[in-house]
Amino acid sequence: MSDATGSLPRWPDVFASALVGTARTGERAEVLLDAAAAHAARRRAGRALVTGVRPPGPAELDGVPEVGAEAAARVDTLLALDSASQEALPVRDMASRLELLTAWLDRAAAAGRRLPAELVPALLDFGRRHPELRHLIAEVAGPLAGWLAAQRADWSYEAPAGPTESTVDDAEAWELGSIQRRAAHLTALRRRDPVAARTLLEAGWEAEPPEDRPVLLRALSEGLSLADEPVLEKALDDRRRQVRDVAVDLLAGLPGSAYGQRMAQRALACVDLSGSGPITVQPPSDCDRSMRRDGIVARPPAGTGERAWWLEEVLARTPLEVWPEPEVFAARGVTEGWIGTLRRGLARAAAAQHHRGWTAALVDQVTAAVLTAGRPADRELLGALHEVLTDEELTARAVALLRQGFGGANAVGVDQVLALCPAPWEPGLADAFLGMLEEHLAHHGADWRVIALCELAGLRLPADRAARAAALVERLRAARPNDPGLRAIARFAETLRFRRDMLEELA
Amino acid sequence: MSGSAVTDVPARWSADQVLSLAPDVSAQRAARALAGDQAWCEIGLSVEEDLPPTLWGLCQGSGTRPYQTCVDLTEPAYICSCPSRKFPCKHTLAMLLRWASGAVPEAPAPSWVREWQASRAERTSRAVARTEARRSGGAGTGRAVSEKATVRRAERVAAGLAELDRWLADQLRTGVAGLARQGYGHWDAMGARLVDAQAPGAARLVRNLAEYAGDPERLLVELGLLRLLVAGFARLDSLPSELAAIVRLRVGIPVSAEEVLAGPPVGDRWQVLGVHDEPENDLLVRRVWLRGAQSGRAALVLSFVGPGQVFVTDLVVGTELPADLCFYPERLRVLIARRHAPAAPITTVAGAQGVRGAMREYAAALAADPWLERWPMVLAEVVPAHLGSGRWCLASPEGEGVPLDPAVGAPWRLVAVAAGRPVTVAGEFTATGLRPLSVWTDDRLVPL
Repeated sequence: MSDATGSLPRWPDVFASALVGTARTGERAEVLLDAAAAHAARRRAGRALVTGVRPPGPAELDGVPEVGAEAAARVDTLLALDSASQEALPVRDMASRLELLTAWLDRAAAAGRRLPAELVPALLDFGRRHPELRHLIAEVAGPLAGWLAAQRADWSYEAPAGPTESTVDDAEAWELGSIQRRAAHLTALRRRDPVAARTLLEAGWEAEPPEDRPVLLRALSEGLSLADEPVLEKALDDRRRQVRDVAVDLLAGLPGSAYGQRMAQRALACVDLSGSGPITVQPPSDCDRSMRRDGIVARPPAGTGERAWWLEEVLARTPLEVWPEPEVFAARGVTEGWIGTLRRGLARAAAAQHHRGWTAALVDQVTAAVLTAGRPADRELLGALHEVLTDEELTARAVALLRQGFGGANAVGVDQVLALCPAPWEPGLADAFLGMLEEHLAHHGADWRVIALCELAGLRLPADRAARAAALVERLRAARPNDPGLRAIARFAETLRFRRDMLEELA
Repeated sequence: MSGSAVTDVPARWSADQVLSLAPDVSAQRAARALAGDQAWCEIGLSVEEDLPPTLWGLCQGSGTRPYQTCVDLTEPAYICSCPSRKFPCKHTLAMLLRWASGAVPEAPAPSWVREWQASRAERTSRAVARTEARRSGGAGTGRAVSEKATVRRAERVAAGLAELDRWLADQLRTGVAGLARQGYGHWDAMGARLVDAQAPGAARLVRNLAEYAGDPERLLVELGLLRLLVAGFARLDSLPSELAAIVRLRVGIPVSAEEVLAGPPVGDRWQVLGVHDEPENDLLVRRVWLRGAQSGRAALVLSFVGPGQVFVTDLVVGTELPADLCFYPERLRVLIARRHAPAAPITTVAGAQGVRGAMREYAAALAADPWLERWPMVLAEVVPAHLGSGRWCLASPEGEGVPLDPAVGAPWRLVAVAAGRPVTVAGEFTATGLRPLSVWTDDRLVPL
């Protein structure tokens, strides 16, 4: 090897010769190799530093204390997407995981604690895909979230300055944007200035492509008033069915509209409220042009008579204010054979108009109808009615359904009701659920419907019921060690234990 | 271990730490399922004066009698009376998980636990005696036979390296610019001949060249380093003994664990500053980087597992282990000779330096071992900074930065922890830049 001090050729020369090869330069390969060897270690050791680096300014400190180590480890598992962490969680699907994560963030925010800094990037990634988490991110990540977001565009949804609409609220979006951006612009404008938005829509209406019209018309649902009626009435004559459907939807929910009056006239012509005896019913004899214009579907579903169907359609779109109070209505009774049609029509109206009184009056009857006949349309209707009930009504209803045992409760969609009940469930509801489950599993195996209910209950029961759930699993394991549903039921108990520990760690 | 009374109750492990001991994923799953209340008839943690801290339990398995499970937390060492061939078995792991979750009360050890500990103490002292005997130079007859084999092997290696030398010259003759077009086969063929010549270390270096084929300058440096290795091996006898040992090791002449353990033990509180797993051929390689809290000396614990297996290690980032280490001849890789006490959390990071000091230390390490591939850096007072187009560095307050390895990507976890303020970062430095492995914040070390 050559000596490093004297005759060693410079690196650029060594490199240049090596590139083309000594066969061409005429040097001896061994000599060049030695020169490369002498340079090699030196070049590696003498690696230059980057100079003149200007790091970003520091993030603001918020002084909020971090959560404890156990809580940090738990949220780390909830945020991690690798398979080992998925194994460590008691839940399997993303929706359940998000529910647990939301509960963690909620509790940490309430306790005034901060997420460890190293987990903030993972949380910001979650927020990118799940906007419903965003309001909690600023709370548990503090100023660090905004500081990081400023360095990465796809996290900058977090930037607290200004409403997010400002990005779509510009004239250019309206002129040149995609249909989604144009609709967003119109909605934003409507929120600020309903008249201006309507004028803008009307000005270009004739030139709008037919497929865009329903999307744009839907924007009027924001701040809907009687002043919008002319536009909507005009839309009822549109050639495209989708446009007419949107107009019908909006008009039926607009109190005092001419549309409502037309429907009321039709309804009152069929349902005779005069006198004081049972209400007499005379269904429409045909479905004329004006009825079809107002959105009445002429063709009945299979198994329903034409005239009964038309009546149901009319009732479903009639403002409920035209009828006497539900109790008065019920007290009078109805002529034989029309009870079902009347009930369905009124229930559809109650769901569409979000009418508390009528919903409360009808939900029991619709439940009974589902139990006896079990038509899919009725089941759907019941679900729509449940969404109108208040939290207290839902909880009371769920308790009542669960008292009937699993079979009866399941038949009338107790899962829908439970999914709508506010979490965590009230103590009374929790006891009713666990009572039902214990009773059922004492005599039956755990089929998929029970498992589906348990998956929900694991996330919604108060976490302090974890011990009772664990005991239930033990009894099931002892009584039916080979039950194929055992694992899923055990997961239910595990979910509760997970939540109990989680809440304790954040207390 | 054997005689000394350990009265400290060891710090509880985390569930992660426990699960990292599992031999495979199914054992992890089984352990989690067993960690509930129902399976355990009796469970306790013995913290008596005359026993090392021991976790014990009776677990109802499929048999009629419950299994006896026992863990000495200092080593850790395990035993379980179940017939499983997995080690540690699911009962052991489940018991540790329960302990990790705080569900194990302190309780005096029953007689079967004491018997196990007594028999272990005896075995340990015998092993210590054997090691001592070897260190004082008592070579057995088996040694003489292997010496003849050693000579034969040295001849084959020398022949292989001579061929490598000719091959290296050939590469320069045809020019490194043309090597970019060569496929993996070009490098693999020479590598395979070196494997046949029993020089697996040199073979690995040659095969690694394939990675740099697109970067002629880097390639030339690597070819030069190989030439240096060949030249060093040719005059092995005239090299200082330490350098000679390094050359032998880099060429791939094996050093047995016994030989390493026969070397002088280096005692310190060894801080675990970073862990990185990387696939190599069909194996997964784990590098655990240590620094002595008192000496500031760097050390590397290497381990390997096959596909589907899980590393068995209790070296957890952010803890320090009072232990004796024995160094391989290149003075970086180590074997743990003896643990003095259970690992405990780090209170301050050892060996942290400014960027210039750290680069000087790296240069010194390269001067001693030019073939060094990775060096553990501990940088004090640095801020992560984006240099544009995906390149990052760790910058000193003066604006001088150590570049990050582009393969690392954007180090967001590190950026978030630092939040724009100077922090201490540990990582491994290679020719392509630094890979950050941990960062010190709020009195704890966060793995990256």
